[in-house]
Amino acid sequence: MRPAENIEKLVKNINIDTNAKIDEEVLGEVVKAFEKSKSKKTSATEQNIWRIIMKSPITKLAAAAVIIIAVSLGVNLVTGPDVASVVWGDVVTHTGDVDYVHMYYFKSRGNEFFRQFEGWHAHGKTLLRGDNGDATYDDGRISQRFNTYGMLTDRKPSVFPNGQTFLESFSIGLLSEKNQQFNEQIPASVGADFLIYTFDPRPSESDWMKSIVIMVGRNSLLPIQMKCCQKNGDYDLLIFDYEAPEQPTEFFELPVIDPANGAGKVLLDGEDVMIDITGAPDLKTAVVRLHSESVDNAGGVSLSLDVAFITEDGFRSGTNTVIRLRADEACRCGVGSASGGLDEWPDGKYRNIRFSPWLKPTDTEDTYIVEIRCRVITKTD
Amino acid sequence: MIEDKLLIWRLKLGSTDALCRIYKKYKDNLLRLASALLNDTSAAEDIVHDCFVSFAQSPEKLKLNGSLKSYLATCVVNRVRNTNKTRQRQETAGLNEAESTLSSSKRPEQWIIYNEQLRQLNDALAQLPEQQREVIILHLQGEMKFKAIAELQGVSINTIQSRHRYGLDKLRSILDSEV
Repeated sequence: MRPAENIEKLVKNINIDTNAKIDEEVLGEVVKAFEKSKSKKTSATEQNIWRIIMKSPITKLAAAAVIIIAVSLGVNLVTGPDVASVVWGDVVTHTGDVDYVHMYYFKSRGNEFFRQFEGWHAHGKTLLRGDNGDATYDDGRISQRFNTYGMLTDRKPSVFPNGQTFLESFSIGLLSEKNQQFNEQIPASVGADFLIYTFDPRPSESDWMKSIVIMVGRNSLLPIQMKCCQKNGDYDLLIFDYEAPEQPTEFFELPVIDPANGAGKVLLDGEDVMIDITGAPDLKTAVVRLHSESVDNAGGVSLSLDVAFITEDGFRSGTNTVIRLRADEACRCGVGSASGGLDEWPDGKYRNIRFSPWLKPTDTEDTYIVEIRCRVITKTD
Repeated sequence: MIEDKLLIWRLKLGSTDALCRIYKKYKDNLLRLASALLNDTSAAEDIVHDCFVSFAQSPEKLKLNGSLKSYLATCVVNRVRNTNKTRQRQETAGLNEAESTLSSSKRPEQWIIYNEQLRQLNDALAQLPEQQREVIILHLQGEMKFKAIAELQGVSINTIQSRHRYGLDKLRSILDSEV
């Protein structure tokens, strides 16, 4: 009698051969179906990401990951028995030569990746494309994000402030010439192809971060993979390569910015301004008020903007009172059900108004043009 | 796992290359699975073909809770079940023979090239009760976890484990009797 495990192996290991000609034919039909579906494809549903990002404890890392690095493979080979003693400072030095990088970035939540990005960086310009169809362009001066509908949602200074490099930014300072704290650290383990460095969080990140593990190419001494583990079990995973792959056609062609749905002149600490909205179904008016200058965390002067909407039916939404903007910046915002169910829409159904105010300075002090881009989101969107 | 996530992502962004890689990666496994579940090569080939075409038609709707492999295996199982139901109806109506003739005339060449070992095993598996066969094939060939199979069959994990155990005993008995 055959032991049960042998039966299991038999079932498990059985192999089949296939007819290569039919294989090709079937694949051809599958590809044809795929191409046909692409031509019919409508815009993907935009997810409620702005709120998640705003609340995420890893906002810093996410923001920094807009950056992808520049790397060239002109590197010194590090081989031989001393590889286990390669200190982190040597890795940091090698990354200084980087001129191009291609990156995948995964953000886990629970047992799955809830957000994924692919990024390219070359010659100081960066494109990061998300699985929601959103894309962020950073030309080293301005960073602008467009959602899946091509609407400008964010505009802010480049995420490479003061000449900061990609690795400095998104390794939260671990890969920085200025950082001395970890430079003498040696690999936690050495594999055939990789050196693995493990870092404890610094006090400033220790409330949410558990550790950062960076896998470095044994020969190139360039980061190949970085995993940032959080205390709640979630993690961010970034995978890099430094060989120029085929770049997306839009690299680095900034999309044309669509006209705003409405714009109006707003006086700082003045009255509410009613801005007519066009081209956004169901919405008629935006009610905007600008007030309270304050110094923000980055040392710049931010203004508070209160925004509410009036629908075609005359319903007035709740007011978003937490918008902080600097001159010539735009940001993703929302009012309605998605921001906590504060709005009691007359029909009792889910509604959320996504909008992006852009604060444009004028020649007159204390007077700004507020541009509003907006749309109503329902459950079916 | 990571590779599959990348492939799915690129597929959603419109990459034909990602689709080809998914196809090449899983078609043998799915053919084996369908063939073992149905013990009918032609029908198995049709099912895998239809699964991939359907998969390619709406990648943007794809939401994976588990692995891509399990997802595709579940697609195959669902289609196999539909095929079995249709067959039962046709057998009742006396149409089975006509369908078999049509199926074989559709594609004279076979996609799956059977080897003797696979034929013997499939014949033995075909003698098991359908539910036991499904559990054994999904667990051993499809590498699905008992929990996932339990969800698919709508029964408890204990029941699935029992079906797996009894099915293996019976399979062993059948194969031993052929020696």
